[in-house]
This record gives sequence, C-alpha cells and structure tokens, in this order.
Amino acid sequence: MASRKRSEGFAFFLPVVGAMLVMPPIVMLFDVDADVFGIPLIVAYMFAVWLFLVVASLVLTRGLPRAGADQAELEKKTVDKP
Amino acid sequence: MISANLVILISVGYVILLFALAYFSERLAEGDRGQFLRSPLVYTLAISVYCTSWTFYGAVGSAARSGLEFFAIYLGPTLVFVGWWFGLRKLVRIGRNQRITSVADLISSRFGKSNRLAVLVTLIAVIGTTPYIALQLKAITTSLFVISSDSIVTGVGDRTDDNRLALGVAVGMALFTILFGTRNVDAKEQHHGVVAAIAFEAIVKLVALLSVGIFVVFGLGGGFAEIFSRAEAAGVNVYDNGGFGTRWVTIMVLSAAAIICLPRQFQITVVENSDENHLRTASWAFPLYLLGMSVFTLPIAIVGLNLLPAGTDPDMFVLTLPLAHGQEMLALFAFIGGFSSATSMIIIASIALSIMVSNHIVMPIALRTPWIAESGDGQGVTNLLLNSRRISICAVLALGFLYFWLTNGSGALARIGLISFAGVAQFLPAIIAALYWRDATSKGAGVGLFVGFSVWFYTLFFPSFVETGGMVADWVAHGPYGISFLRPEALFGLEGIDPLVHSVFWSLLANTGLMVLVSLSTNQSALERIQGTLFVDAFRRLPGTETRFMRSSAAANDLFFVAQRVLGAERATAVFDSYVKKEPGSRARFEPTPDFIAHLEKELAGSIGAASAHVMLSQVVSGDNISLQEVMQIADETQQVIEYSQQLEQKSEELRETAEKLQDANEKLRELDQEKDEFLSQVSHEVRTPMTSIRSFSEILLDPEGVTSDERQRFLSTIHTESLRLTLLLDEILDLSALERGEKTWDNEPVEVLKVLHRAALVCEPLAKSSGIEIRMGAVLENAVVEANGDRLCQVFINLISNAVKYNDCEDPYVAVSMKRVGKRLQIEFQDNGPGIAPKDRKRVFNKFSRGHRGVSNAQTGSGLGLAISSQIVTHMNGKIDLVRGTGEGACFRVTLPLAQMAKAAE
Repeated sequence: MASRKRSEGFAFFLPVVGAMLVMPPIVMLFDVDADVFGIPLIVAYMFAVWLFLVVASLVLTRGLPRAGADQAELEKKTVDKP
Repeated sequence: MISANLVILISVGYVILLFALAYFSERLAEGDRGQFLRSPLVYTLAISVYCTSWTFYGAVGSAARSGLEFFAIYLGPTLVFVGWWFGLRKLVRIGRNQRITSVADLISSRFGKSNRLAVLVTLIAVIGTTPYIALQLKAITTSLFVISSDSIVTGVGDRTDDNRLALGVAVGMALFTILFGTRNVDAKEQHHGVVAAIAFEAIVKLVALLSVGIFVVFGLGGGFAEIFSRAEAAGVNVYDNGGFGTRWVTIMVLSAAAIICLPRQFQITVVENSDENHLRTASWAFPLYLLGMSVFTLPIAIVGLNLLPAGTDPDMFVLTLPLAHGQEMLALFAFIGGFSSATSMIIIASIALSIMVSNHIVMPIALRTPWIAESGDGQGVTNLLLNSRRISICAVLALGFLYFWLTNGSGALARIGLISFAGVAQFLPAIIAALYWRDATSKGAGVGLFVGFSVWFYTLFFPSFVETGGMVADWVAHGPYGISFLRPEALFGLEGIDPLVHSVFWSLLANTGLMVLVSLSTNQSALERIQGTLFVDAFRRLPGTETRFMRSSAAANDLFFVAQRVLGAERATAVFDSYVKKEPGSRARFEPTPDFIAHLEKELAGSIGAASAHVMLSQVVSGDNISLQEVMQIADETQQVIEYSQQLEQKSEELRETAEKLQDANEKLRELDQEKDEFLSQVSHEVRTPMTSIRSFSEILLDPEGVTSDERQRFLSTIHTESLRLTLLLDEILDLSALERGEKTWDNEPVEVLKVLHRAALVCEPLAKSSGIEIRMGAVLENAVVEANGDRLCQVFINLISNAVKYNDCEDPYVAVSMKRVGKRLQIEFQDNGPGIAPKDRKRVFNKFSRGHRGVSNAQTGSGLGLAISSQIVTHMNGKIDLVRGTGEGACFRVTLPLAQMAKAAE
C-alpha cells in the first residue's frame, strides 16, 4: 500500500516536473548559443526531456495498480464497511 | 515526375487495402481471434490519429518558418499522457461506466443529461472541425499536385482539377466511413475494423516519415551535426532562439487541451477504449510515437531550405526533397504516408461528429416528432439512427469540401490547425469541472461554453478570413463600425501580442470565469447532483450504487418495447435475459427494479446518448424525476441511520468499559476482604499470646497456696508487662486503622529534621547501649526543614532505628543515619549491618504483622505494625518510605520527604 501511495505521488509529480522543464523560465536556460556533439543544446535538451518523460512513465506505470485490481480493492473496502 | 493518374490509382489501391483490412478486422473482432485488435498496441497506434497531415507535412513547414515552435504541439499531449493516472484514467473510467459516446455526450451527461448543452457542444465541434477536414483535403490535393508536376516550385495549379480531386477524396472517405462507421448501432460505440485500419495507417505514416528523414539526414545532409551547422545559413534559428514566450506556453496548453477535447481524440481515447489498462501502455508509447514523428522535422526543414530553390513550399519539403533528388519511389511512399495521416483524421473525425449530430440533434427532434416516436416496428429508431449518421457523415464531409472550395487559394488554411485547437479547447473548462468540481452547474457550463466559443469565433476564427478582404479586413483593421476598441485582434485595446495568444487568453478567461461565476450563483437539479457525484466520485463508487437515489418503476413490456426499438430485438432480449438470470423468478414475472432501469438507460445511452436515452425512458418510467428535496431527504435519512448506529457503537463501548471497571472493582473487593480476614486472624493471634500468659498467671495466683510472695510479685509484674504490651498493641492497631482511614490528627508544619533525628537517637540510646550498638551520624544537613509533624516524624525515626537495633546480630553492630537533598526533596537513610531482609520478604515488610526477621531469635519482637504505621505516617506527610539497596549487607530504609518552601528561600 505504501509503495502504491508513493507511485501515485510520483505519477502526480512527473507531469508537473515535465511541464516545468519545458516552460519558461527553465527552458530559457538551455536556449543559448551552444551545442552538444554538433546538435544545438536546446534541441538536445528538448529530446532529452521528452525521452526522460517516456522512460519515467514506463517505469512508473509498473508501480501503479491495474484497473481490475483497483476495482477488486474497492469492492473489498465497500464490503468491509459495516 | 510521376503520372497523376498513377498516383491516384495507387491511392485508390491503398484505400481498397484499408477496406480489406477494416473488413477482415471487423470479422476477426467478432470471434475470439480478434484479441489482437483489442491490444494496447493497436489502441496506442490509433491514438496517433492526432498526427494528421498537418503533422506530416505542416510540422516541417512550421519548423522552417518559426523554428522550435512545433515541439510545443507534441509536448502538450506528452504531458497529458504522462499524467494519465490523474486525468485520462478518470475520463476513461467515466466513459465506460456511463457509456459515453462523444465529448458532447460527456458534458451533457454530467450536467443533468442536458440536451441543450449537447447541441451547443456538437455545434462547436462541427464548426471547429470542418476547417480541419478542409485542411486535410488541401494537403492531399497539394501533395498530389506536387508529386505529379514537373516543377517542385508550387505554382498556381488548375483549380478546377484541385476541386475535382478534393471532391473525389471527400466522396471516397464518406463511402469508407459510412461502410465501416455505421454498420450497426452498438451499445458501446466501438468500431474495431476502423480502429485496425487507423492503427495500420499510423504505422505507415511513421515509417514513411522516418524513411524520408533518414534519407535526408544521412543521404543528403551528412548527419545531424553537419545539418545543424548549416541551420544559420538556412535561416532557422536553433541557437539562442528566444521563442519561449507566451506563444510557446499557449500552444502547449492548446495541444494538451486538444488531445482530450478534439472529437476524434475523444472518440479513440475514451469511446473506442476496450480496456482501461491499455492506458498504461499508451502513457509511454504514445509520447514515444510523437517523439519518433518529430526526430527528423528540424533536419528536413534545414536541408530543404538549403538545397531547394527559393519559393518551394516548406510544407511540402517531405515530398519535394526526395523528388528533387530523383527518389521517386521514396516520394511516392511519403505521399502515401501523408495520405494516411489525412484519411485517418477524416475518417475518425467524421465518425465522431456523425455520432454527435445524430444523437444530439437528430434524435431529440425525432423523439418529439409523433410519427417517428410512435412507429413501433422495432427497427424504426435503429434505422433512423443509422441513416442520420450516414447523412451526418456526408454533411460533415460536404461542409469540409465547401470550406476547402471557398478558401482555396486564399492561404487561410495554413493557420487552421491551431485555430481549430483553440476552438475545441473551449470544452476544457467544462470537462475539468465535470471530472473534479461537484458544484458546477449546467447553466454555468452552458454560459461558459457559449461565451468562450463566441469570443474564439470573433477573435480568431473570423479574422482568419482576413485575406478574403472586404468586411473582414475592414473590421480587423479598424474594428466593427470603426469602433477600434472592439478590434477582433486587439480586444479592449490589448495590442501587441500574438493573435493566437490574444484569442486563447480572452476566450478561456471568459469561459472559465463565467462558468465558475454562474455555477456558484445557480442551483443544480436533482439529476445534475446525482450525475455530478457519479462523475466526481468515479473511483469511489461501484457501478450501480447510484440507483439508491432512484425510485422508478415501469412495466416490463413497455421497457422491452423501448429497448427493442433502439437496440433491436436481439440485443434487447439479451439485455433482459442477462438480468432475469440474476434475479430469481421467471421472465414472465419479471419486475423491473430501479437497478435494471438504470442499467437499461445506460445501454440505450451507449447508442443514442445520455440525454436522448433519458428522454426516451422517462416516457414509460414513472416516478423517476424525484425532487432535490427528496434526494436530500433520502441522504438525510441515511445520514441519520449512520449516526444512530455510531451512537449505538459508542454506547456499547461505554458499557464494555463500565463492565471491565466493575470487574476490577470486584477483584479489589475480594482482595480487601481477604486482607481483612487475614488481619483479623493475625490480630486475634497477637492478642491471644499475652492474654494466654495473663490468664495462666492469674489462675496460678487465684490459688493462694503454693505460691510464695516472691513468686506472686514476679507473676504480677509479668501480668502487668503483658497487659502493657496488649494495650500498646491495641493502641497501635487503633492508630493504624485511623491512619488507614485517612484520618490525620496533626497538621504538617516546617520541622527541622536534624533536631527530630537527635531526639529519636536520644530515645533509642538506652536500647542501643544495652545491645551494644553504635548509632553513627553520617553526612547530615544542618538546617534542612521539611513539611511534617515533629512527634510523628520522631515516631517513624525511632521505629526505624529500634528495628535496626533489635534485629542486628552482627559482632560489631551499628546503624548509620545520613541525609541528602535530591531536588525539592530530602532523603534520610538508615543503613545497618545486620542480616538484611531476604528478597522474598522485601515486598511485604510494610504489610501489617509481617516481621522481616522471623528467623532471628530475639525476645524483643515487636507488634509487626511499626513499619506499616511508619509508612502511613510518611504518606500523610506527602513523602514515602522505601527499602532500598544500601551500601553494605544489611537493610537500608530511605525516607523521602518534601522540603519546606521556607528552607528553599533561606538558601
């Protein structure tokens, strides 16, 4: 249960962090005249954030309960109530 | 160049391939083998209908014109999918629980199954989507023109040809959509065949774009680094771009809104979803797909600007780059990719719109028309639905074509993508309120939507026709009737910002603001309140629990009749049979429960929308419309029952505690009773010993003969001693019982401890001398003053010293007295070097009649009450007396007493 709570916390945190990373002012930090292996820094940064979101989402989803399990748990809760 | 006819032929062949794919998928989906079609992969690929030809061709154009802006279009949806757990999951759950058929149905269902709202949303969706369809038609005709013309520089083509081609495409798409989108009216508005075809198209467009990208980057450009080094020369600013202002944020918000609100996205993501768990895969796979679609966008734009002659349309770089370098097959493949993205959008958008139009505009009208509403052949409504959908599809595509025809050549289409996004983004406040805000009302949502839409229309849609000149251009330049205050692109004098940002700001501000304001100042109807709870608490309730607020009843025959007309006889029978099985009793005696009626309404809603289903059923169901007061009353009753049961629980808890206390008290009473018995027997025993000797000596004395006067004298003195002992014992018992009852015959007053100690030592001196015991005074505090009574304290000290003297059988006996201060208390210790007290006796030395030194043979045994009395006295002085582990072998008693305040002041 504790790990589920944590995963939910991260699930909320991830899109918020993602939004902050690609919005001003943070994005402006990378909008400079520099490059990484010949690729402009800002372009590399965009794809890096994007890839990070994909991987983080993939990892995070494993920690979140499946819909069926969720339903069963809900049923159990409802039955438990006097 | 490739012959136009060949390209058209290939396109037709491709569409036939899609036909076949959709057809066989549909067949497969009916059987068990169709499991693959309901996999998360197909679902994810279908969602990528988001990437239309606007993405396929337009993203490169956008990159060529405005640099990095295209990123925002894909980052918005990425964030929404990454955050699926809090947004999309709830949307999908509600969609499945409530059998939602479209975005209009969602908003209408949440706000009390309001038909007015559904119509409003449908109209906005149609107006917002039609230009988008026109954009797809334009992309197809332009790309066909480019691929089949001699020159890659777009010239003014033969417009008649263009129009004929667009019409052909529109008709073809209408045919396809009608064939697969309106085959039947399902309880769940799902089209497995179409979805399979869309998923296939998603693969085609991705592979096509990647192929072109790889060719451009590694065939023409010489790698990424090489291409980016030429960016500046091409005029694409990728270093220190500075483009991350309000427009960037606005586009991000719009694209995030669009992935939820666009009718086609809603159709695929929510309506076509067959398993909520598919979202788990889509949450990362769809962003990955978008990433794949964007990898080569910038390089293609840069290379195109570098290598192709000026004047080439950047929107067509994906086609013109391979063409210019003789890669005709690659160009053809790219064309098919673009064709795929365009057709998939047209198909899904027209299906979604046709469902909305038929459910929310045609059905309500039909239900109010007597001759349709009363035709009871069982197929009437089904046929009406299917036909209205077919007509709607044709109408939507016709509108799209009309728009294309009217605006073709004006260039206005280029901005349509974002304009369309901004239009459907007006649904966002209402959807968010539907999902998370319990108190949002139908009026609030309606006013917000209407005003937001109007502002969008006036500030963004209307000015998009500026290039057609005339009135539009005049208004944009000078305001309506010359009122510059109301210029569409500078409303209320807000000048100098991007028109898109301007419009999105005003429209969403008005939309959200009014929705909140009106919601707060109007009331919800009972149905709205019920639906609101069902939506907001979608995860907290089990499906079916809502019916406790419904008290509807209807005849089974009437219900069956209605169900048959919408669902057809076969499905209606299935729905009824599935319920009869659950309920005991045969079908003949089947009584429709409120549960069943709610279930049936949902089944109907899955076909004709919540609002229409509600209207249809309320014609045969009585007592469904309960007032808000009744809902509140039912809720109150439930609340009362809950409170009552909580009170009961509390009471029983209290009772249990009381019973436990009683049990404890009983236990104590038993112990006390036993103690009392023991005490009595001990007292009797103690009294009996002296009494026995007194009696026997008296008996001897009663016989005067045989007793010498000397003996008489001795016997009398013994009787006297024994009487004294008896009196002393009785005095002590009385004293102890008085103390135990809590009687205190003295007042505590400041007493100098040292004086009392000296007095006690003086009293014990003779006894000590006779036993040869030394009383040692250890460390003492000269002027320690405690709250006590001098005489009583002296009694305690005498008792302790005399005990130490009496029981000490050591060769060199002594008793040491010492004092020390611990905080606000004074400790006085009496340590002897006697035999000590056995561990098993340590606990009971303070008990009555217990003598710690039973084994010691000493004539001078006490009453056994001394320590018990001392303990009581010290307790009454707010102190305590303990047996502690001292320094030597013997016993060590410690008296702890509170220091008087005065002493503290003196120090």
